[in-house]
Amino acid sequence: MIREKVELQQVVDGLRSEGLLPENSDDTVTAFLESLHETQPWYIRTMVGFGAWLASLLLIGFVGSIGFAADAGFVIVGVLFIGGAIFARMKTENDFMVQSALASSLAGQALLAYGIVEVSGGNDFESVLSIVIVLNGILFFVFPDRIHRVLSILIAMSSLGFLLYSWKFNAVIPVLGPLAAAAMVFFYKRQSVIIASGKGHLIRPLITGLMLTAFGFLLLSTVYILPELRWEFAFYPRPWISTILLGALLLYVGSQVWPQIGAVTGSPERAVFYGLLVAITAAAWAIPGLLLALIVIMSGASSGNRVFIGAGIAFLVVFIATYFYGIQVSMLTKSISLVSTGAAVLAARWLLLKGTAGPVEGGASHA
Amino acid sequence: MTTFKIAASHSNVQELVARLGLSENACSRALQLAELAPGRSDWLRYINHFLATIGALLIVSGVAAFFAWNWADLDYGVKFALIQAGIAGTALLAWRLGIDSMGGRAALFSSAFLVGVLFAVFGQVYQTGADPYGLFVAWSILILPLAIIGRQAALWILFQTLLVLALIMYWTQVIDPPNGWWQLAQLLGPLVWLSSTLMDSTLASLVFALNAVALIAWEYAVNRNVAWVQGRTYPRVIGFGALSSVLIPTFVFIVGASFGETVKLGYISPVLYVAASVAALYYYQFRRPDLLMLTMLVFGAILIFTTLFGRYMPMDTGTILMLAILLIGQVAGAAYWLRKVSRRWEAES
Repeated sequence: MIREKVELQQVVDGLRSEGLLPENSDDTVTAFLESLHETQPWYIRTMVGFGAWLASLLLIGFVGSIGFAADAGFVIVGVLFIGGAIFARMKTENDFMVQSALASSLAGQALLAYGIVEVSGGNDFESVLSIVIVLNGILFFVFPDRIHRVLSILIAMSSLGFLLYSWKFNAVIPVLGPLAAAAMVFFYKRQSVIIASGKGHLIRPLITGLMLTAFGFLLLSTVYILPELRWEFAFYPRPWISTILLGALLLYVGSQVWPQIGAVTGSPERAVFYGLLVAITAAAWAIPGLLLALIVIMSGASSGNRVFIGAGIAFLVVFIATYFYGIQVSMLTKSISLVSTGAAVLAARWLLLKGTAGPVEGGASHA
Repeated sequence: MTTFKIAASHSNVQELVARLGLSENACSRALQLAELAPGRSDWLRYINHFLATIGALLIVSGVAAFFAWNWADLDYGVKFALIQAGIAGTALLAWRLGIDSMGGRAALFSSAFLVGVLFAVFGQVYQTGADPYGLFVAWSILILPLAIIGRQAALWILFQTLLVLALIMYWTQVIDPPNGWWQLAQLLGPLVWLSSTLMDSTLASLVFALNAVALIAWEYAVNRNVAWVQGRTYPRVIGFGALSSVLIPTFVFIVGASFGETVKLGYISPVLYVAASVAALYYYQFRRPDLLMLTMLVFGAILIFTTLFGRYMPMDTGTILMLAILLIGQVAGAAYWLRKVSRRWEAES
């Protein structure tokens, strides 16, 4: 649905003709376009990645099998693995080396966390999680790789989740997903400013990591524990907290999008639009994941980001599937929630198309 | 200056802006020039398509949940009526939308899929006592006309999958039912069980033959310039199936040798694997260039060679290091060779 017929070279030419490119940038542009042209297809990169991870694990196994005389050995080897991985990643863009560096860094983190806990005598799960959170907080800035940065956020946030469960702060869990989503929306909106300030290498993995974190926490809302297990543990207490927070975020995203759909401020159409968003939120009371999917899809559509739109749709499908088989409510309740939310979405579509019917600029209306 | 035809995607434009250190204004302008910032007409199009899709998806899921809620209490007649209405409705929709349109293709595929659901419910209601392979045979026969009319890869992949399942079911229920430890594989889910059935070289060879014949027939049609078979999805999926059916038994044959787990495994699988790989490497390199097929074949060869090496080396720390070095060498060599082949095709075209 999103057209991608414009070539990158045309964008470069357009910027150059408007004097927006810095002087002597030809070489940088050519090198960048060449690097994109040289990128291997995904299946070859997958093969290389698989080989690199397996080879790295074998090498780590080799080092591990030599044995360590003291617990401090784990710390030293862990630091060496992480340091070596950072150095290798700074020096090369080769697929094999990149994947090997990722595997070495993750193995190094495991060794380092274990070593520190052993040396300090903490010897408990919570200490390991705390070290992993701090370590990944640092590595997010230090490790010069996009995938590693996304993984750092995911590992740190997952560890935070485990830590909260361990401290029996389950009540905070429904807030984490909406918080991650709000941070994602905030940074997504400000990404042009952040890229211009020279932090472009951090912003994209940050946004992706926050989006995946929000997906992960919201999926917890569908976890179903068999009653036969008699396990009094609430994975996701009061999911409606997530619904309210995500509903507010949906309204905010809607307020950013509305000026692009209906131009008149304070018009009845605008009130209808907000009313529909509230209706969708109310209908999705027990299904907060649906609101997150809509937020991601709307954010992606607002800037022609196919990856975001695809991720939002994929999450929607996965969430509905897990919601269908999981969550501790009857099939009838699920049916009513799904049908009413679907009806609200279709009503929103009909009213929006009807309410905004009018002269639509021909073609793209870009630029 | 050399020009490269690269689409201006959101990530490409952002990466370009970051590398050049452009201002915020230049960044916004670049997104505009790439036509990625949607205008009002684009938004209305999104609303039209996205909300219709999401709303329909939610309502269909809700209806499915409703029937799941009271399925056991539904009258048999109602169950059959519902599924048959689904088959008729989707077939009608395919006809209305046109079987070559995206919607029409999806509707026709749904119709073919629901035929299987109908058979499953029929068996459940009447407890016919028939072996499950009969269900797959009947299902494949009934959807064959749809596959011929539909002329779409997805329907033919479904047809081929049903044939393979029917063969595996017939073999494991009538010809040679599994015994011993292999029976336990059934407890680990259908995928594990299906993979475990390939531990019988005779069955694996028959599955390979079934897939190989389908693949050869498809590639023959491609060479005869039949318009609707030109997509590469079918040959790649079926090629993966054919390769797996000889790769898995060869892998287990190597690992299990001397562990007493090779009772039903014979040399036929490794022989077929080598012969098929050599033939396919030649065909997909020189006759029908396909980098994905070559990657699959090369990756399979790396797996087998590394396993062979690991199996016959002494079990010590030196072997672990040797295996790592061997793997690095093979993967790097494979990536280099694939790039070289791709460059040669580019130069020839």
